[in-house]
Amino acid sequence: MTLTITKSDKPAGYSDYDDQELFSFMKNRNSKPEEAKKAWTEFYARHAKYIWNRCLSQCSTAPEGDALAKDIFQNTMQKVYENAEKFNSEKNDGIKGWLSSIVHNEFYNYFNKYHLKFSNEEYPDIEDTQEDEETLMLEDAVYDKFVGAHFEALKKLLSGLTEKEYKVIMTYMKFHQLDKPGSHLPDAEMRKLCVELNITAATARQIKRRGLLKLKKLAEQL
Amino acid sequence: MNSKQTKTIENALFHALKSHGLLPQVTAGQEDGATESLLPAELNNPENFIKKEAKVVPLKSNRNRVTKRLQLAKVAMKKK
Repeated sequence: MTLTITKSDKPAGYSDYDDQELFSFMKNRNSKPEEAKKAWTEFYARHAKYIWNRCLSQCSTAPEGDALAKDIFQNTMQKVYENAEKFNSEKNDGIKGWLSSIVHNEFYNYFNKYHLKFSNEEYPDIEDTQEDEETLMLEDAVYDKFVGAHFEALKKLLSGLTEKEYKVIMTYMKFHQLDKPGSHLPDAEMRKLCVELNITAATARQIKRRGLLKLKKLAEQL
Repeated sequence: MNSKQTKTIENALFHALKSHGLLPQVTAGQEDGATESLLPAELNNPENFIKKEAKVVPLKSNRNRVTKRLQLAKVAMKKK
């Protein structure tokens, strides 16, 4: 959609413009920096508080959560301004959905980059002779400990995986259904994963299983 | 469903990731923040986010680089 806005249509205060219109001003930040700046100021006044609270909420369990929230907030704000043209109200589940997903992605990237020191153990010493569901079951006490693990403990558990195992397992987690543990990935997602890691689907499933067994072993030591 | 069947490592991981906001998202989430807090004063200036180099608070990721740069600058000063 192309919006055509002339100065005479709207007051100079920008408060009457909707978010989509503000984005279209911001999009022209290089050719019309003053308009973009005003639009950005209005956008900031409208949404900064929401974004800040999302950042606080997202970082609440992380160590130094408040300081981290400030970092995530700044990264998010820069991303929003720099990527104004990418916002699509229908596709992005509304403005709050879009902002929320940027906050989440920033936090997730931060966690992956600075918190995880992946193991290099490609072939752990794990006995996996039984290919049945029982193998991936947890004792009640271990399950409860895992679910209630603190940030640091979870970080340690995930750091026990190799980068490949982490990538595969987190992709599965994206589509995980609680009532159907062990269900397959959607075909398109599996193809993407296989191309990215240069593996076959069967290998991806094997990597996932190995990773889960490794996590189980680590969880039993919690 | 038998409750025992739900106690798999996958389900445990799912819940743990979710409680720390680390569950990868398929689509954009739209949950409102449970916390309600005022925006800190140092972040309350929209112009600071227009230019990438103008940061209010150094990013964690930049902190080491900044420290390194300061150390190098000090060494250079001493040499002079």
